[in-house]
Amino acid sequence: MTLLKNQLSLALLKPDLCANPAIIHKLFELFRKDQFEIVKERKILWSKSQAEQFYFEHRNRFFYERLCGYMASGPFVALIISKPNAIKDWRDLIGPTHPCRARINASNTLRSLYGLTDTRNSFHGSDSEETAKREIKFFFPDFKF
Amino acid sequence: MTRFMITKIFNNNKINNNKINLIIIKSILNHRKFSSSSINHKKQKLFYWGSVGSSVNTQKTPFETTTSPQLLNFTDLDIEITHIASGWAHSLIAFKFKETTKVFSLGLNSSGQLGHCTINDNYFNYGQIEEGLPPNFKVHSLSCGRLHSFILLSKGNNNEKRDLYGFGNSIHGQLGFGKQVLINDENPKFICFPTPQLVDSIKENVTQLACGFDHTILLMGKGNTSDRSIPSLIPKFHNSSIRKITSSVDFTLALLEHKIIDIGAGGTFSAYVTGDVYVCGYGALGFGDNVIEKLKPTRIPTLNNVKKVYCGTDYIAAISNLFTWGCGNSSGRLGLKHTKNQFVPMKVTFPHEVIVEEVACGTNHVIALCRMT
Repeated sequence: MTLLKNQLSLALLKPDLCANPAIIHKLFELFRKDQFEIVKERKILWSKSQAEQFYFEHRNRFFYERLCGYMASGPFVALIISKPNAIKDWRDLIGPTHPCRARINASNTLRSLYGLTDTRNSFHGSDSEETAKREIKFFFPDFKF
Repeated sequence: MTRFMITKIFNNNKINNNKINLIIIKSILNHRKFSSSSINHKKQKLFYWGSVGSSVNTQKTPFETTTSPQLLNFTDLDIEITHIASGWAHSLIAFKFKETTKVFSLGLNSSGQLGHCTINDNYFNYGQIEEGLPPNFKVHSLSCGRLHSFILLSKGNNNEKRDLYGFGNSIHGQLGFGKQVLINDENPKFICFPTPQLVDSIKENVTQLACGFDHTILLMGKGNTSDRSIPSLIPKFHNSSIRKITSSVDFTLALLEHKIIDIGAGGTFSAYVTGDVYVCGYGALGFGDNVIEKLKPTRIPTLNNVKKVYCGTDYIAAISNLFTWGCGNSSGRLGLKHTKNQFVPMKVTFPHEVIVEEVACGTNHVIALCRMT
């Protein structure tokens, strides 16, 4: 049996989830069940301007205002998760970006269960190893790879 | 180790063993204080369906679920339930006991949405709303959003102005208290009002209110004569407006030529009742499985003689004959004996002959206040 190398990914549990401790509790049970190791975690509360800085690249998009307001609406949790194939596994678990459509077509994904709209989509997962590295650096500047 | 940290962060209180809303409603109803030997008013009955254990979505439901109406017995009590409402993870219930009206709230209190003057992360709270409301009030209607609540108080006279009291999370402006209560950029923190407060910016008479996810819609008018203008705290789908609105604004649904008698606000859609039901927004709206988006209020062709409408996050209930439609899930919250999506309105069958008076649509449960015929 070959031992698969663990992959790192950044996961965000966004403010709407963190408003309800019962949901967070269930999500951590899910992490354990699906054998994600949680390497690091941090609880973050952004001001509107911090959110605006983070999403600066989207500043001219129509959803910018909504997105920043949403991300600054309460505390959220940033996690470094680890498992062989963590990036794909986590993204499969959270499902497509658009929860409205997800609720109707793919009702077993996390976004269809907890998300509301394409902006208020409750979860984030890195989309590649490079992005993961960059995002982990942003949320955990002291983390040693 | 990690779990311990998260436990510490969220001050987790045995949330795994919760048997939330209905159980607490049962315990309120069985509270010795309200017991007496006299018989229940008006032959009231409460029915429930969906997930009994929890009012939030669960991936694999470990709780008891039921897909058809079940009777919740409280016949020994000397109370008359007047209003019920359920939000994302909390509920309000108003009842008369010996001629005085009491409002109880239960569930999650992370933003002060229970109106108990405190905020905490326990999942398991219940109690009476004692402060903030005027003495000798009468409830006209209740509504619960995701993290905020409203109580509309009437003074008995139909033409007199009703008072709107809001409490809970105000971070998106959903309480209508104005801009000064938005997040402070220098020192970010939750903007919450755990004690009920009068929304004094609204000068007109509120006829009906509906809390959506993080927004509120009010139907204005003088008593029974609605004037068709609807201030909304966050009109999500009106002219694709994406502004954040912190105090009420007017928008008139010019499309509707009839008098609006009730309104409902879901997570991603709104509903307007004129006798017919008009909906706009996004989701399983009631037009069949090929229509999941309506940017203008559109009449649902298969429904008529509707008096009231109640919206959950992604499903809708309409009375007087109870019809439900929208996204179903494993909880069976549509009460239609299945757990699938329902794309056209379908009638809910009760085990007794009843008249449905009020419906509370929670995340995963429905409670219907009924009267025996």
